[in-house]
Amino acid sequence: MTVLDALVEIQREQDPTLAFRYSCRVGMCGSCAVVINGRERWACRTLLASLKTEAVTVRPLYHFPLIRDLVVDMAPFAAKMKAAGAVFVAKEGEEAFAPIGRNVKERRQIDGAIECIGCGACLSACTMVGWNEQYAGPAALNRAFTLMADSRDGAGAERWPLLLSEDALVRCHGQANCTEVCPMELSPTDSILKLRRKSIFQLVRSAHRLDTSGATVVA
Amino acid sequence: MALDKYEVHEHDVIVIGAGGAGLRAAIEASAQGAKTALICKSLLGKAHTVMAEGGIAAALGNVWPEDNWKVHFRDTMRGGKLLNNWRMAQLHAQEAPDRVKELEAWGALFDRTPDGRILQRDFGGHRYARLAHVGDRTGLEMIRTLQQHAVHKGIDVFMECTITRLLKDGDRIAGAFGYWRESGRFVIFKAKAVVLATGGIGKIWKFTSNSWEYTGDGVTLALDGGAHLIDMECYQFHPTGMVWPPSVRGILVTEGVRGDGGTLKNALGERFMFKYVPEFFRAETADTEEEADRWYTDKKNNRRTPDLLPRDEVARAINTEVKAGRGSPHGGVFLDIASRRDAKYIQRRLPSMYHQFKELADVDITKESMEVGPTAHYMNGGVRVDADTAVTAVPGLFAAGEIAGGLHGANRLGGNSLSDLLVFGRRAGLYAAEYAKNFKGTLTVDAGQVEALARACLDPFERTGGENPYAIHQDLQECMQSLVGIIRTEGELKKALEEVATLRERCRRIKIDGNRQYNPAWHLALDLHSLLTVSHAVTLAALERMESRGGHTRDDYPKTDPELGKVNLVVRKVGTELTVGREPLLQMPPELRQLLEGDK
Repeated sequence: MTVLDALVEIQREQDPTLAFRYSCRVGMCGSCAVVINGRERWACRTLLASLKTEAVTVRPLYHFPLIRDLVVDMAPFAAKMKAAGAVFVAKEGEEAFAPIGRNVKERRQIDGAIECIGCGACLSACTMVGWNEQYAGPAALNRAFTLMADSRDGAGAERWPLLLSEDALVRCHGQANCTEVCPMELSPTDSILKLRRKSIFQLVRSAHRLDTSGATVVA
Repeated sequence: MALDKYEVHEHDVIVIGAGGAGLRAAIEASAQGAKTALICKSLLGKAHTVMAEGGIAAALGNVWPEDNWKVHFRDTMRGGKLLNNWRMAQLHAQEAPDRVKELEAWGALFDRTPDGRILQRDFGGHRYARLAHVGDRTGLEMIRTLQQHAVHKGIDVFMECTITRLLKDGDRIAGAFGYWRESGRFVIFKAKAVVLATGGIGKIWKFTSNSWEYTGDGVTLALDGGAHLIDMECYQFHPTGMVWPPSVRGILVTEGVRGDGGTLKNALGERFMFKYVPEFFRAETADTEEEADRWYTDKKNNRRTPDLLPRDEVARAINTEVKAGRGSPHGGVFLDIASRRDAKYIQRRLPSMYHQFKELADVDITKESMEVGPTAHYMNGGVRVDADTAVTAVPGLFAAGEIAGGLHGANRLGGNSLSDLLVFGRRAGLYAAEYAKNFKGTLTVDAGQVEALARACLDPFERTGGENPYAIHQDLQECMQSLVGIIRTEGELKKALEEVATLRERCRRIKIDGNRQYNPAWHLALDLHSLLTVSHAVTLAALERMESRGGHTRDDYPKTDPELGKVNLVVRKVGTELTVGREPLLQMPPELRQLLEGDK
């Protein structure tokens, strides 16, 4: 029996008004993320037996406004995606749409980070999100990483200022709580580190551009 | 009476449902310049589309240059036992490739062939490897892509909002009435056109692959609003759902397992599917295990394995094996991929399945067989629509995706659903926007009707009856599972009609405690109207089709009846009663009919 089965049974037998979210029952939609025995997990993929405790505590995700019982307001999740510019924008002006090959480095990088289903567990686990509401947080930065690695994406120039702002890459303290709890076994920490590495080149490039434009004036 | 005590939104087009079809419709309507809203019962991105695993059927011809729309059309019609709306099947086959390429231009990433084109995989009933896919999480990729595209385009999205009734002005659509799940407050959407994209009805059965949303809301909205349903008896039971442990019973095991080499075996270890190849598919199906085995490596010179026959055939075969006492310990059969493929291959090709079995059933599919059995999966029928424009019988009301009937006839082929969502989602959005643009009159929402709807919704708080909505839902699922399941008889269907009527009576005595804020018992109490309406519709149609065809199997009429093969069954609401009638199929032009006859 999973934690979700137990919640459903309580709802049917004891408290018909007990509010919690779930949809697919099978770990594909990411609706049922809650904090179980102190750790973010999906109720549908957590077997009660595996918890090995007599009583199991379930509470709503941290760092989201509470609506009722186990239901939280997920609006901050979407807001953070927006704050990190985590939306694909196709490059303009290319004659044919350029696909990404099957065994190239770019595809491997993206594949390693793409499977986020938006459950919010990482935001709940992240202490930096807890301290700073403005911080874009692990899910959005992870998505931004896949887009920055995607040669078909054309929004890099607009995204860099967002990523280099005070409330994005620089906020992560590398505690890796997000990676620890991610049920999809993704590593937002890794994505953030890779983006930081890229950002150094980006900063050098933009500094260099300033130089050359200066040089042009002299010439 | 005025509407000013209600929250009112005004749009040209509202789309109800935010799965693949709803998102695609909203994107198109918005691109046409219509002020568009997207309304969904769950959070955005949690719709059922996200669970689609196998892929999108489209005759891109990347793996098999022989493939083209004509072959895809033929496969779809044959799979549907020719009950399909031929025009929908034609448009679907012709337009699917463009819809797939368009997804890629919006950021989707598909698996690729060695030379860089979109890779396609084998699936049941498709003559050639045809399904564009991303591992076994194609639906996730599709929903993310569409969702981000829609949000980027600035479409208004209203989440966790349940619509309970369509509003009309005379014969025309004028909007929709519903409530916010979070606050329980009512909301009115005024609109010139409404697109229904609410998916299916799987929650009327006990063993189902469907998620909680699939309560048949849209089908009921359409019926209550004056639209018609077709082919409701032809519900699809997917042959391979999990059967053990009990809490996961019904959860889907993708057909991709068989496409990638998995075979079905009974308790004796026999590959029993060879015994169940119908005449209709004999010419293109291997008749020995040796040929079927060779097919996995040499598809040109061998015929395909019967494990990949259309879903209705496989579901019935499994049912028969279990009934004959040759089933697995928990009442299914075995699905074995471990003896053909190595662990690395399985984990790479079917990662979701690997994790699903490991975590929920403690079965390592790279070493052991899975136990599988049929599970309620997909509504082949649904709201009757015009093929080209997706409009229903009600001016201003459109429908697309699983909720719309016609494309799949009596049985859907795997992979044809995702392509259906895209092709007809786009068309519904396009023509809804056009309708809204051309409509020059004014629409009035009847304040008295709204008041009455609101009062009816709140009734369950006032009563003293003491019925529990969860208990009624459970009893309905038991009833539909045992009386209107895969194999049906007249006596059982009649009994089901009586039970549905009794359950409806019990609904009048539901008592809800607590308040309106995020109260799931109240939500279910309101959903029960839909659950009971669609159960009634399915049962009526199943009684009327006195033959076996596609997803519909009658134990008392085991053969197909050529006369019934010429008609669709149409369910309507007349007054407060549901009626069922026979109506002739659309006549297919000779040049298309020819495509079905040749075996090429």
